[in-house]
Amino acid sequence: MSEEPPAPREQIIVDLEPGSEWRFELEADENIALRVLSPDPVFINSEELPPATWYPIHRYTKGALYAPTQARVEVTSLPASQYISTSTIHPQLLNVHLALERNRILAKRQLFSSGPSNGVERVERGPRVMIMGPPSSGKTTVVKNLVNLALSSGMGWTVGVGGLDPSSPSNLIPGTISLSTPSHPLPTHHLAHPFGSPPTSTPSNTLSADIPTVGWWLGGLEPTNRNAEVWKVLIERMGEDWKKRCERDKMALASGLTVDTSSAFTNPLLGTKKDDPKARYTLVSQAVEAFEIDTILVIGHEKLHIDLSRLPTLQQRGTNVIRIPKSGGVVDIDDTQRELIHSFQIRSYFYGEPPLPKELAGLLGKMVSVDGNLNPYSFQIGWETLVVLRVGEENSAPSSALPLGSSRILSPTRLTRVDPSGPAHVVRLLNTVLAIVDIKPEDRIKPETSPKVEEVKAETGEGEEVKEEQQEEEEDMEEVPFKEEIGTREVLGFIVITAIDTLKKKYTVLSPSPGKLPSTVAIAGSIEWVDSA
Amino acid sequence: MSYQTYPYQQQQPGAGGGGFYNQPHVPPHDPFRAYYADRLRQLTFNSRPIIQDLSMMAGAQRDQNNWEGMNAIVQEIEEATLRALPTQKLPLLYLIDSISKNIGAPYTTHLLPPIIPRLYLRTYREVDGVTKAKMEEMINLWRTGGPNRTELYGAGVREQIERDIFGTSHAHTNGMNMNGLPSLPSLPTVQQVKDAVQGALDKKQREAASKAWDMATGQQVNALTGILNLLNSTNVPPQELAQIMDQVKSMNGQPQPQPQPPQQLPPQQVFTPMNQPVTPNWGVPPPQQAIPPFPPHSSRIAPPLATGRPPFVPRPTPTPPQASLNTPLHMAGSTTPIPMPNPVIPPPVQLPTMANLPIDVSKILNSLNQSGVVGQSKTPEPQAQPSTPTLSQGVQQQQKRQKSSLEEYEDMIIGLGVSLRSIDLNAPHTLSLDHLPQRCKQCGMRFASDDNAKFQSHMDWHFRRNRKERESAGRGSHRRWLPRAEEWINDTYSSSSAEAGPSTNPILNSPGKSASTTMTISAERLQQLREKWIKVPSSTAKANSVCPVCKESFVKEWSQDEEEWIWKNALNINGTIYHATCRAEQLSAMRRLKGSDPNKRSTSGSPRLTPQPSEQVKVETTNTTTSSPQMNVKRKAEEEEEVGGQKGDGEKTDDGTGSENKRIKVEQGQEQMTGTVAQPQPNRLGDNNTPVTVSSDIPKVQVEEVEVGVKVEQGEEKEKMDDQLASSLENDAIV
Repeated sequence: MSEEPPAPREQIIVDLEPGSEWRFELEADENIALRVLSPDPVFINSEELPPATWYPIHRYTKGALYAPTQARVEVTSLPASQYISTSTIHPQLLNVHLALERNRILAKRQLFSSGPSNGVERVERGPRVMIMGPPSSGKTTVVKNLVNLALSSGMGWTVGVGGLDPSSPSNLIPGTISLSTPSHPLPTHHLAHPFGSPPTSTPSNTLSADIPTVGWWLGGLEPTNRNAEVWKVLIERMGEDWKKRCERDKMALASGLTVDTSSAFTNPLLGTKKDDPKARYTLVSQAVEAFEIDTILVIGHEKLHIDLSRLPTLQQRGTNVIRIPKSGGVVDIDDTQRELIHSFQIRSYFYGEPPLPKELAGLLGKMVSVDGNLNPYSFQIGWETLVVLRVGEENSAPSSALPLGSSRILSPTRLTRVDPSGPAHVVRLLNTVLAIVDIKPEDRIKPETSPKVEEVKAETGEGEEVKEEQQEEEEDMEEVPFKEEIGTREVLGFIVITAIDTLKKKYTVLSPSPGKLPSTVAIAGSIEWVDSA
Repeated sequence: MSYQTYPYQQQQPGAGGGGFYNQPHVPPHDPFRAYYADRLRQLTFNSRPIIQDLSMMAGAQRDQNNWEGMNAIVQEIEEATLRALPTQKLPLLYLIDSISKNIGAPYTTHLLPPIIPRLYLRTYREVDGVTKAKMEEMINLWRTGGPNRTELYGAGVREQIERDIFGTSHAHTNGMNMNGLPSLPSLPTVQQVKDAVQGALDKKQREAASKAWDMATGQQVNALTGILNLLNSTNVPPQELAQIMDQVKSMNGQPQPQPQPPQQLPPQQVFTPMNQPVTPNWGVPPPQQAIPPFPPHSSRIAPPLATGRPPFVPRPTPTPPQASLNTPLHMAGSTTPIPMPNPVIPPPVQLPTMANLPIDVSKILNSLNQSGVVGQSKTPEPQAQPSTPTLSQGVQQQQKRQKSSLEEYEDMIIGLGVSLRSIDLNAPHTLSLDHLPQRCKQCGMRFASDDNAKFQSHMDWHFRRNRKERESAGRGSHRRWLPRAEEWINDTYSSSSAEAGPSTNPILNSPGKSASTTMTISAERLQQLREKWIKVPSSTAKANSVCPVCKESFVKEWSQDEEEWIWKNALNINGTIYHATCRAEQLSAMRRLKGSDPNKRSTSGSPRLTPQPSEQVKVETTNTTTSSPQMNVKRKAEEEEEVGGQKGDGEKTDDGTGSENKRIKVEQGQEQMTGTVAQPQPNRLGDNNTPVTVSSDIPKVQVEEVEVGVKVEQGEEKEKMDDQLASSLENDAIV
């Protein structure tokens, strides 16, 4: 506050040739701010930088500025790793965007005008695109570019963003998948929330915040064969909700959907079960079906492109598979970096976007404000009060422990209550991120009513597997008094168990909002978080 | 301590309550209503954004055809107006004015007319002279405020009010002259007109002297002087005289006074001496100006421009455009309304004759009008603001389709013919932003040049966000819970008006949002307070002084503009230096303790996720009072905490951990789970974690009160003026 005004610094200028990219990778101690000095637009992930305003970028961020025309950018300090490249995939992305935009416009004309559009083919709805690619191929970046291109066209699109990559969650925390509807171009300031953050109690002034988001909890970083059944149910529900939204919101229908996917989708055997060993790309087909995807963009991966083009399920639907090049600027991320990103994302969920770094706070001139210091709340809650559940069959006793010859058929989305008094559980629950699920009165199973009837109702897809549930329930130490359905319901938010008091039988939890929890039923996953910052 | 003030507070509504407001008070059980009431409580000063916001909500209810909501709005406004301090009533009336003019139909025809007369009259009797003048100004504009320049509320309403206000005060002072001015048929004589003008001029001059900052009054004085000169130097036909008379009266807020007995004068009506300058004295002959007797009006048309034009054209008034010159004289008398240069003009009936006037007279009339307009432009409500965010999706689409540049863009994209089926990724296309030349200065977002509505609503959106951000400054925000899927599915509001952003949906977000907007002192004001600064005192003793409220020292800061070391967020009141924010908190706390500020009841400072109306209702029903002492204590403690957090200004994290520590002890009971299950509706939580560490701070505030109690009033007055100035500056900035 009482500092002297900073001494005039030496200006660091980056000159960009037409159609070139300036790429940077920020280290742990590097925070920079940029501003555009030339009149023509300069983009970061297809968001146009505001004119003559400092644009802060936080540490660890890796990104690129793209200048379609000659441009000059001022940087506060030159990152250690930075270079200019003329190999860019922006022209390709632009072509994809133009094709998508055309569909949106045609759909809009179809949906909003009474008569059919003049002469051109009928398009009933906006483009629904899914982006696939191996790890570190720039999937999220491509999605972000396409979304930003659509949002900055001035047409007022509200492109739906489907985040099907729990390891790089678009708006929430690792372990979640989400649907969101941003309406402003999404900025790139830091690692968390590449597609903007869900609303806070007060709107933050960066345009990334306040994005209506609805989330589901997988509880793991990617779909695997173990949680594939849970995943499928989640995707089904997401798809239904998207469909319902589109029924109500014609603009969303015309704007279309852009889906980011997990890199696990590139594994052909993902989701393949023993009963159908020949099935390939099961989860891809399922997602395509759930969201009625009409176009798949495959990044780089030639084999994947061929495989998908030949996939019978996709061919039947007439899904378009387009291969787009991988950006030369994509950086491979190792595990430690991923962990760091994950931790940062969870922290941002609770504490908001990071504050402006000190070295940037003193800059003269206008600054894109990055605020959003949030205050989470910590309180204690009794073991009995907070019902912690786990979803999925892997949490029950292994089938090898069963008597020989007897096989146990369990619902893949069955719920297990975590008993915190068991010492092993205590260890497992500490620092665990829990997802809060909304409970309605009809979700409770009253012990006297026949659970069988309830179960059939809850189970829509896997009807044949339900039968033995009743028996199983009786064996459980702690009965789960809820329908299974809640295990795959959309979540209301996340809490972290920061301490466990075994004597008083209480958890200490960190909650994003003050006051009571909206529900006392929480689902645990494999995501843990220790606030290290 | 605060219990002592309790009975007094209880009396408060009753004391002013009188016989007018007999309707049972409906507790704000419905979240929208509670939210609206909360927002109303913030309207304690003349704030354009708040009024705009509240009007827009009223508009939204209208658009949804939600009569219950509209009724709730009207009731809440009435209550708020009756409840407000006399100095804070005017903004609420402006809100009514704004809703009536911008939203119109059901409000002006059904909802407001029944309450307006009593509300207006009661308010009129309670407020001071300046406010009275403003109210007169306002009611005068109602004459033409409706669509097509009709009466805003239908004829009866305004007349009734005017009879009550003017009729009574006039009958006392100069009933004689009243009879000389019959309502319609006979035309006034030159002398009468001159007297009237002179009277008005005297009044305005006094008014101008009493408030020198008021440009509008000065202009009116100039205009009146001009008319007087004109009357003295030329022959004016009687119709024009009549018009001048009308104009002068309307400028005065003086309608044709009708010698009717006062309708119902409540006994408490007292005209303080303050009122005197406002009540004009028509009949009193101009004291300082001896006017030569004029020949009674001649019927010939007054000499045209060259000879007749007096040399006085009022300076600060912008000369009306030339259109009136071009108006063909022969058109006069025809019923075709002639387009007037000035958008705000007298009722259309007058138009034809206006054109008939000799140029200078109509000019003067115009300028009179304009000065009236200038005076009115202080009314904070946005005249031309389209309520775009509330437009339904379809309408917006239609608008969009009319926008040619976007259409061109659409055609261009379709014309490119890039199809997903046969895409050439390397086709040399460039991204064109030519159709979007307008850029938002704040975020760089682009807009089509002819899409002003969208651009405007985008700027409004920024403004609202900035305001919310200011409001929240220092009190810490938090991540909200995610929506349930059904909520998200139905939340098409935010996407249908993309620019409006999700933070503008008053209905859907109201439960969660009212938390952040519920404040003790409006955060906008806090922000303004924080901007106040003084030079660092030169004497070392003073320079080391601390704020007497929070006992914290001040933060020295180098001001580029002033080239001085300054203390931000500081106020020098009679030699004692306070933190501006502490001071304001203290004042409001004192006011509340005195029970004189009941309109701030039940605004808890703590950010709640979903303020549970049921909880508030409970408190209210047990106490049947406007403010429960417990709540006061609780809130005050929270304020203390808040002030503590703010003084560091920028050390929000400290604040956050502080409150976190306080809350850590709070515990969720066992019954809560069943509670949640039993009430599946959005009552997610009922904030029962009362901060525990509070009550020790209360005596301190009381001591402070004794210390500064006397000086409060002046300082407050000054602050208010600053506020108005600041908010008007702000308004300029966003337009």
